[in-house]
Amino acid sequence: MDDRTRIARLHRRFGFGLHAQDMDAAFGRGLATEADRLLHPDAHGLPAATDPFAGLDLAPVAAGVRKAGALAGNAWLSRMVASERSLQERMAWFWHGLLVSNLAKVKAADAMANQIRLFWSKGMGDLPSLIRAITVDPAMLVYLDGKDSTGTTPNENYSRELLELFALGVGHYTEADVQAGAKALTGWKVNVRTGGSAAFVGRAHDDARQAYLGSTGVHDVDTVIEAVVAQPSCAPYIAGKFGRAVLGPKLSADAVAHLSDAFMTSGLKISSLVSAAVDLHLADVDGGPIVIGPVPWLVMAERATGARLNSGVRLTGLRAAGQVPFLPPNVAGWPGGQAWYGSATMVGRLNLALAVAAATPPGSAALVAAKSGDWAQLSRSLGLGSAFGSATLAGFADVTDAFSRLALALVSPEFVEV
Amino acid sequence: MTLSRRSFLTWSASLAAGAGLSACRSAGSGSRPALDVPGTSPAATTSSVASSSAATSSAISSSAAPDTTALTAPPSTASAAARSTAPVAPAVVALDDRVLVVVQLSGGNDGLNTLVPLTGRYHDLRPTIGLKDDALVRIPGTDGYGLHSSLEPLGKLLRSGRVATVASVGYANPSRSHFVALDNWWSATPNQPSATGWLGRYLDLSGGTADKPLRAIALGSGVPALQGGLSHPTVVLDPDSFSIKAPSSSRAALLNGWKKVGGPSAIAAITAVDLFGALAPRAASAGTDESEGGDITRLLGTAAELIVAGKDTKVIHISTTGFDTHAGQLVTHAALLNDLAVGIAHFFDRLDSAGLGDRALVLTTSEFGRRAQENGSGGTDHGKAGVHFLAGTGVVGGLIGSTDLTTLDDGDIKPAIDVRSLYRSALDWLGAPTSEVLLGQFDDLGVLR
Repeated sequence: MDDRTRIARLHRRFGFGLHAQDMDAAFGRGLATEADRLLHPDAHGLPAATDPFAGLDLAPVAAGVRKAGALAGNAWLSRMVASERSLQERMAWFWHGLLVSNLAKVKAADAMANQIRLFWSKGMGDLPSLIRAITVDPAMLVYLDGKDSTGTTPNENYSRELLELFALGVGHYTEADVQAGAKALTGWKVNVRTGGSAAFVGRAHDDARQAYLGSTGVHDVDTVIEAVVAQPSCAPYIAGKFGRAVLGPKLSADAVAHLSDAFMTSGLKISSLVSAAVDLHLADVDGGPIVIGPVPWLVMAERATGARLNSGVRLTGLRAAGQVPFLPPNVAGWPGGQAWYGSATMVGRLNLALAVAAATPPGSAALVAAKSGDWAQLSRSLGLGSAFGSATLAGFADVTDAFSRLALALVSPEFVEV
Repeated sequence: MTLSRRSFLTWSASLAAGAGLSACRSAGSGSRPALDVPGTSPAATTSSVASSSAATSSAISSSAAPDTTALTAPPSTASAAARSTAPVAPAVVALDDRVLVVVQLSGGNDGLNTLVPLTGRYHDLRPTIGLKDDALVRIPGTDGYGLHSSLEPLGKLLRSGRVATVASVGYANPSRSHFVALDNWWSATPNQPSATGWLGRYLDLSGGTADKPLRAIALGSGVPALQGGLSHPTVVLDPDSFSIKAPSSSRAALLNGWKKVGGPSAIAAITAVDLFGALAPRAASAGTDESEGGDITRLLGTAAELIVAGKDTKVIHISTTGFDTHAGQLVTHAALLNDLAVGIAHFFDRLDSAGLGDRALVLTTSEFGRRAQENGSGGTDHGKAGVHFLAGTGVVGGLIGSTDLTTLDDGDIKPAIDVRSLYRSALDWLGAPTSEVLLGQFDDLGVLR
């Protein structure tokens, strides 16, 4: 693998690819600098993204949840497209797919937006604070029913998913742990009318000491989280989820163990886990091709071409393709991988690619290359590391207009996978 | 017409007493292992449930009209001999023309509020979300249970004997995790890893190949149940937005190019777009009126049109969500079951109107039932056994199995009928090599005509 490919994949795996206008400069700066810019944007003077939700009316008015959700979802997409701190955005997207909530149940776009703000602020911090914060996050308290869980009749929904999906994985807890955790987490209420603020209500809480994950004194959110993150299965679980997301779905057990060790040694600092993964990438550790989901793929397409779709086209297209911000299919997030080769996603991507091509500025490098049939230049201008393969080139030969060519390039396996 | 009806009481008793969750020991010779052995100890449980509820059974609403047709003769008149010698078949549909429609109720449908046992124990367990006995829908020929009132749109199908309700379905060592449980239902190899789903194995073994993407169509979401070694389903999330929006001037060239760029997945997608584009439009629905159903109805409507279109589709899988009713479930669950019932009713109405009502069998699946005792949020947490439906002219209507609330397993209804017995019914109806698909032999529910 040459450095150009490493740089291209670094940005496409750990970020959302490069902006059209930054493409040449980035490849010129070299691999080490690009990795450092992703990891330490402050040191390189890269501007922080602004809060895209500020000023939007996202209050949970009964009739307006869908509209507010679309407003917030599009604002978030716009930030992902514009941001010069791509890794931070990539991490927020990663956490949204792991520590899942869903607007359809939460029914408050402002609470969902606040959850994404949490991922921006704590998504590279330490895992225990992130997990503690999400446990009593208002949107999460609604989504997994924590707000209705009381000392007399605890609700197991959050307690189960905390262990199964968010922190440990199946096989590392018992049904008794689920039930004890549910009791210890009781008492958190949400006031949706105040922007979804959470409050602890002592009389709704069961403060009895629980036997939980091998500890005996667990009785509230702090002691639950303390017990969870102390489990030996926690670091490997998160390291595995993250490692496979950025280095490939077939990442070796050795590589996961390496990430997990680095994560554990750092005291569960997420930034250390991310750095360790970047180091593996620089050492050409590869878990095989990642099929990029429709949301990050569309963000990459807009960044690489300079096209900017409007809200309706983005969200309608993404819905048809099967991935919309704030609307994961279930508490396990989007399935990913081969699921993204289903017919609906294929067709949804093609339609979005046609829209991106049509919205690409006429002078953009990608469109110019598509028009002239300079396939090597088209690949470079889309931020890809290597040239298009023979199947894609054969497909290009069937179409004559620049828009169709660019659209085919965007749905090619070379662009869809990384 | 000679009618045969099974004695549901004897039947459920023998199921409980029989192999239950283990592979059937000696069913090898045919599709009718002895189901009518006199019940032993579990039978006593079953009959006590039934008899204790008999007193209240008259309270069942007359919203389901009293049985008036010969089809609903009392079950006690049936005999084992009659049913084994005189199967009643409606118009026999060629195996090749049969289409299985699986409706997955994701989240874990609450079986106990779907099929309600008329017992005091039920109301003890469900003090706030318990359904009133007199609002339930009657299953013709069955006492002691009633269906959720929101299933009333199934009334016509119930009364014509086209719906079988199967109680206490699950598998041994059940998991309360959505995803472990879903894996178990999808693979039909409970607690054993499998690279293929049960429907995928059926598709492989019945001539499926990678170049026949329309043999299996997933609506609403993709599903591992359809994954075979050779067969790959067509996945259409939302039929209404499934079209290619290319300018007509460049469309043909674009699609030619896309076939090369995208390979088999693109070719399959184009084939599916052509099929869906040619479907008759579903009746327009504003989706606000209860009688019009919702998402489930919409997808079942598309399924009906696919069957009418008559391609080589063998399996249509519909994924629906929202059944994870941890809180405030009364309203949510009623709406979901209404949608399911309206959907199934409209589905058969549409097929009947095209003269194709005999071609389809509808089967419901869901990863688990829910906890017998309601929680404090007006909902129910994850449980074990659930309740399922088989609908079509190929089945004998009625209730199979029973719900035992007297001996719960950590608060859950225990599975008494293996999910693979449920699947067996569907596979036998399709004419599948059932034991190869299910990797073993499982009890026959005797539900097929």
